[in-house]
Amino acid sequence: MTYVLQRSAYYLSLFFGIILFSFVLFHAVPTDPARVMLGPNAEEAQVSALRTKLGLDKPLSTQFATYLGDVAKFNLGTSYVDGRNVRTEVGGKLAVTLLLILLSLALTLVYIGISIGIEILGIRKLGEFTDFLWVSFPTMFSGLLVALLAAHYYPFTTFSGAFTRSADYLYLLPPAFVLALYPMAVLSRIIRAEIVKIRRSQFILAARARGLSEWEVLRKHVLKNALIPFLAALSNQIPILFTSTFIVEIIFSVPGIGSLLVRSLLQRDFPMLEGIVILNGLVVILVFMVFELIYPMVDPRIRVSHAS
Amino acid sequence: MHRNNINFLVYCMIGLFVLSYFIPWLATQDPVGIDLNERLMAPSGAHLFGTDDLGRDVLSRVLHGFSTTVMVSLAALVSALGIGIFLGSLAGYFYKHWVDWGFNWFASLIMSIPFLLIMASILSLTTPTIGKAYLILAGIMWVNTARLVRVEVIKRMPLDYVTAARALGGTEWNIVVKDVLPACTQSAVLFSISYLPEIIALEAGLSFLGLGVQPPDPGLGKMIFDGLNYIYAAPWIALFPAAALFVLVLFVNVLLWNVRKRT
Repeated sequence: MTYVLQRSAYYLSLFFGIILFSFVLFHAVPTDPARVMLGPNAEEAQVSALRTKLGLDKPLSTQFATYLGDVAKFNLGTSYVDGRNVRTEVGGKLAVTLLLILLSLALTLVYIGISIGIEILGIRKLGEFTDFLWVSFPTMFSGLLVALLAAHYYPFTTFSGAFTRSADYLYLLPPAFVLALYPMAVLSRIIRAEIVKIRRSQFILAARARGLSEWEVLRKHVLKNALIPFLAALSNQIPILFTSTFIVEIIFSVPGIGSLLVRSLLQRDFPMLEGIVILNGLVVILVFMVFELIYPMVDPRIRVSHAS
Repeated sequence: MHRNNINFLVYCMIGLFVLSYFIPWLATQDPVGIDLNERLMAPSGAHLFGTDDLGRDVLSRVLHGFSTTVMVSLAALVSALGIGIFLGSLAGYFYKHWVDWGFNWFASLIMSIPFLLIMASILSLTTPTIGKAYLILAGIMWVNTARLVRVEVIKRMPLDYVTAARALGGTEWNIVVKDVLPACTQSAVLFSISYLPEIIALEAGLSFLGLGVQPPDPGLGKMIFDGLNYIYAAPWIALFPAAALFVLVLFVNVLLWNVRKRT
């Protein structure tokens, strides 16, 4: 229980750090949002009126307090450009992105399964070669290739944007595949290295000596021990997946957070960017926390060292 | 870890940097010269990689963009390595002190926001230039190296040769700099070079989002982004710069693969 509390407090502090980061970035840095919104030709009176309305004339500490309260209530303000509510907009797009990422994680796990099979069958060279190939494809290149191939050979090329039909989910499959290439390669390398390392340990020899079948040794000893480094590496892939999803979404015109990011960047829509940073950070931190909760379940050593 | 392999890798990186300085000389045509009579021409003898929507020669643009990407990425790599070694050894020196705790917290903070998102949101506040893209790349990519150096320093501090140096009267910081750090440099260099593909992808990503090389200068990411509008009618506009990225990443990965295999 103390373990859970400790880790939760730590991640809460990280989330606080992200809020501080976005506050410093979008409020304390000497660019004038009011000026940006109204453009260089606006009159000074208009700009200062807007400044008062946005609360930019108050001291920084007051602004930060208001800001924290707003974020706690998930009130992320409205877009500078068209007044849309940032929370609903970012939240909606984030849902699409998360679905895409989940799909790619599912593909990754399937590949890891195959890769473990290849390792067990003893054709390691094949696995090493395919992993090397996948990791060498930059997202932009693989994305373009898959997009061009999908346009010609893949039947589900329309997206209604609302996930009402099963074809909408199938539309996400090619981008999810592109997204999965990098984690596939990295994770399968790690799991392979772990399997090799664990298989050399004394306790595997002992298990074999006790008369366990090769399959039991694998399932009960090798894979179980490889699980912790695998999970750690998997959680590290989450932010990387977000980075590549920004690009993949634009290539495949998926209406997710990446498309929103590009539009907000082009329009310098700071509240929207802020919302993306905060909500994206929240999602990543929640995922990290879930992983931290899983570790003690799969590794009794962590359970014991934190039991009190 | 053989010193020779690391040296080989470093020489290759220097070679790549020098080579990319001269690569634009191969461009036969002006990379920013607009010719509206030659719009969207398919690859041919006159334009080996075709032309884009403004009639600019894609080959020349790819060569220039490639060179920028390589130089910016390598410069960012070296700077990030320097920052990483410095901050990592500082954190290792202050192990179990609040400085080390603060370092870990800050590193985790950076790691929990997608890199492209941090960089893009910081750059969005400024008028982006390629110089700022380099600064932000160097300013973020030190995190992984610093973490490695920190662990290496902490791991080596209790070793006997460090105790011996202490017995000879060396101050703690002197021991870290003169005895412990040289032992960590090799793994730090190899480790940070293994992040080069990621740096290249991020540089191209920034350019893709319009935050790297500014038009009319060609950047690989920007060319891909602009080429997406013509992806079915004129796929060569986006495909050739993307293939250039692929060749670059493949080259780096082949090098790394060879070095790792020999160790």
